[in-house]
Amino acid sequence: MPPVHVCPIRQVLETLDSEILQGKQRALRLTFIALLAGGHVLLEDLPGLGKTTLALALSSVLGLSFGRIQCTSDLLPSDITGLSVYERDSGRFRFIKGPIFNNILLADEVNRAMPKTQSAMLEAMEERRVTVEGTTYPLPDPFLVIATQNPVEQIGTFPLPESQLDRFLLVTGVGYPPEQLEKEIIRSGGIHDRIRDLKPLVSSEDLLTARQSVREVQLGDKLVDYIFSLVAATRQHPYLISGLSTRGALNLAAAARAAAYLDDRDFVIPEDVQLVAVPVGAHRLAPRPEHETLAKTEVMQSIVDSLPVPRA
Amino acid sequence: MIAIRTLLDGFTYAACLFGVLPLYAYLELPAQVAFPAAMVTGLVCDRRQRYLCGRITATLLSVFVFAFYGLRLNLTHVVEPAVNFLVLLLAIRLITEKQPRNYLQIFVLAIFALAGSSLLTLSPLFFPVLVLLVVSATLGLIFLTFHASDPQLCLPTGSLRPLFTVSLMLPVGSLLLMMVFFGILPRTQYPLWNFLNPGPSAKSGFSEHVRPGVFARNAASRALVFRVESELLGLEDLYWRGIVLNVVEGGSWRRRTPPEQEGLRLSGGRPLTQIIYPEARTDGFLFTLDPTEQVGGAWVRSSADLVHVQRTSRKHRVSYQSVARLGASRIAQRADHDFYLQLPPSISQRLRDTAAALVTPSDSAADKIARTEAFFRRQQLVYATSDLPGPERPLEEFLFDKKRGYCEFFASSFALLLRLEGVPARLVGGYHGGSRNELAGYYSITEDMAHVWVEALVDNVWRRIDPSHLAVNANSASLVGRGSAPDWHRRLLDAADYYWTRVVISYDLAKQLELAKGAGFTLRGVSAVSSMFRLAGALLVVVAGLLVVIWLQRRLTVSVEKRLVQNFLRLIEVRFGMKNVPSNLGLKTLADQTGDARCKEFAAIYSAAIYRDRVLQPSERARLQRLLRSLRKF
Repeated sequence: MPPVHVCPIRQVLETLDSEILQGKQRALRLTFIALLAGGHVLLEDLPGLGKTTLALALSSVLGLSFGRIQCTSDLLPSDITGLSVYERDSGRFRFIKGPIFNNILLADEVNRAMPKTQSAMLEAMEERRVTVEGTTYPLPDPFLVIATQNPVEQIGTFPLPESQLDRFLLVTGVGYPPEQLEKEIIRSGGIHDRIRDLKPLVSSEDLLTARQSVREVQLGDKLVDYIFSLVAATRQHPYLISGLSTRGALNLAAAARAAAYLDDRDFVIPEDVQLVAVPVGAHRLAPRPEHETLAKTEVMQSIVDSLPVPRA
Repeated sequence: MIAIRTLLDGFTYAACLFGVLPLYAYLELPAQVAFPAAMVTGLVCDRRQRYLCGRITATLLSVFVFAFYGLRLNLTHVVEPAVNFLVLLLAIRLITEKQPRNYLQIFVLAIFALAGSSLLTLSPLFFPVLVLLVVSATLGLIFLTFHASDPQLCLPTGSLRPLFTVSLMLPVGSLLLMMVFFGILPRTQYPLWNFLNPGPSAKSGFSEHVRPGVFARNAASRALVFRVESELLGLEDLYWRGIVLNVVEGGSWRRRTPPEQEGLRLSGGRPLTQIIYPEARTDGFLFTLDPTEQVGGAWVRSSADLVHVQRTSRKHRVSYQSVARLGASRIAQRADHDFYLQLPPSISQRLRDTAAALVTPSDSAADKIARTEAFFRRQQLVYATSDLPGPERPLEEFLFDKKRGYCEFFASSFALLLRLEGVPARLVGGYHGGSRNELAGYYSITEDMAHVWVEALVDNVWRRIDPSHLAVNANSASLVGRGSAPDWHRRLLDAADYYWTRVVISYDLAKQLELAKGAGFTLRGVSAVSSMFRLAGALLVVVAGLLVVIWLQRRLTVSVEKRLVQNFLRLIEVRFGMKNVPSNLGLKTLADQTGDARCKEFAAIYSAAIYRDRVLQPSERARLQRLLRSLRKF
């Protein structure tokens, strides 16, 4: 059995799950996975399902700084990264950090921003630093971007190209809460106000320790084979032009490690891979033009279902 | 899509057909008519789903049939009423609506019917029919389980193939098992019932006494009497000796034990070994090619006149080996001339006069025979099997009036004349001829080849005389036809029957062992053969060794972990009814789905080792095995 040490991150997840953010288990868990694996999350769902609430709650309980950008078509890259302003007193340019210099950045409706702005943000996400006017500023650690986009709205949007989508560790929806829960929410009102009063439950050091532990989670040869066969299957799938890249496979492994860690294990089992395969893999698939209408998540799920798990 | 019901019905009717087929000829008319009618009616009823006969009517009918045949049951008459009752019951079942249990009844009745047939006949038809019945009943039972769970079930045609493949393994397995049992189980070599209670029908072939004139017409059947594995022989040699009739009483010739001091020695001739496969007989006479001195086995009693009889204590019927001496002279030793010259007092004056007119007492025996043969030729006798002389004075009528008759007339009148002339003579009963089956190299001898000829003592040698050949139509009469081959398909069927008899019916484990033992003793000195045995033995050892190696390799290459997880998956399938666990399901998910703490523990321990790329520790392995055991017990 794995060493039993009570990890504060797991406790936070449980607290959030059972007390605050009911009905968002899957999205919450995946967000935690992204956080632990050092990736970013794209929440793809209709407005009003609690994407923002999720991000807010997360930042509050983790005791992390939180920044938010509401993306619009006139949003400029400097609105995200920050800009240098001339200080008359000192006679020098002073760099004013943009919202990206927070531990958790919520980029709402990321597909409404111009490609140039999107590109600047995504570059920062990947590089974890911002270079403005020749000066490079490192972004804080931990750093998590939770971007949201509305999959239904098409007018006035700039859909993220595949190469940009690839930078998100995982893409997931939130989904409607269960009936009973939704009735309860209607009855007692949202939790928006409560979230502001949430006390941090862990420090950022705890988070960094946890991240270190995640990296130490063992990925056995059988699981490497399994992940490889999964990736290979996406590359050979008749409906797809291209499957998962090597970065996709790396992300899959990292996410699976985080999933194992959250499940209190120091080794990955096939179920971890299966859990993260669709959120990590689906958005990286490029279907053939004649299969454009197919849901990528379903294609990915069918690939996962068709592969036998290593059992011995 | 094919309805399971259609398949089930198909196999059910097939099972009925195969069950009753070998029995059909032995059924009485009501059953013979009712069964096919019920098959057709049942098929129509099943198709329309409307049945002629309600459950109550069917029960009443069954009770009536039971009462009818039950009343006819007695000690000498058990099997026939029973099989007729079975078949009628089956017929009633076929025309009523069929619940799953009724299908079961039908299968059981069909199997009983086939079993019943083996009490009446041991024909080679039994084997193919048995195989077909086993296959159809097993497949029917498998489809019945589908039908019982959902009577409306339909299966796509594509899925039938694997289903049939898997289902066929059952009958194939049971047939293989049957082969094993065949080797070791005791068996009967006679159809039990027909053997214990021979039918009342009169046989018109070989008989233990000759009484010409009793029947106005001799209609011989083509029933098989025996087969002989032998080299090709001429028709003139094909005399199969069965019995010697040495006394005349009234109008008939009978057998009496020959005088004690009498002996017989064969001299010269070519030895000829033959294996004879007799059909079931009750009289115990063993037929051999004339002349045969000895028949193998201590269970045979041979007398001085070369008559071989099976000892009554011998229960088995087996094939027997005989060594004939083709063309040998039968030299009589201490023959009692008076015994072979006895005449009945009732012999007619006309015959006495004829005999007296033919010869003078001073003539030699050979002369006397030649004169009698000449007399037969002069009489222009006709070999015939119809319009025969009557029973009052058959021989005179045969010789002087009608001048028609078959071998019994020829032989008995000839022998009688010889005795009147003072030549010791006797009749020999048996068979003459034989149809050669070149396919398998044997002769089959049928009842219609029954024959009687004469042996006369000439210069102390018993000479065979066949007076039937003195008939004017001897060359065209049925005697010539004996030995001609029947059509090829008949020969083929006969050969199949021959092999059936040889391999299955007369199979005798004790005899096989005896043979093997005997062979061991005689082969000891032959180095070529023994080296061949050694080679075969070495080969056997090598093959067995290879098999062991393959088995070991399998066992060793399949890791402990693999075996454990295979057992685990199988147990989950059995215990938690999870049919066909999908291959994409992880062990943890699987264990969580069962909700069983032991399964969860198994999955946890097992995964912790396997997915960490290490082998199971002994303690873990022991724990896993304990968990599996506990799961097995549930």
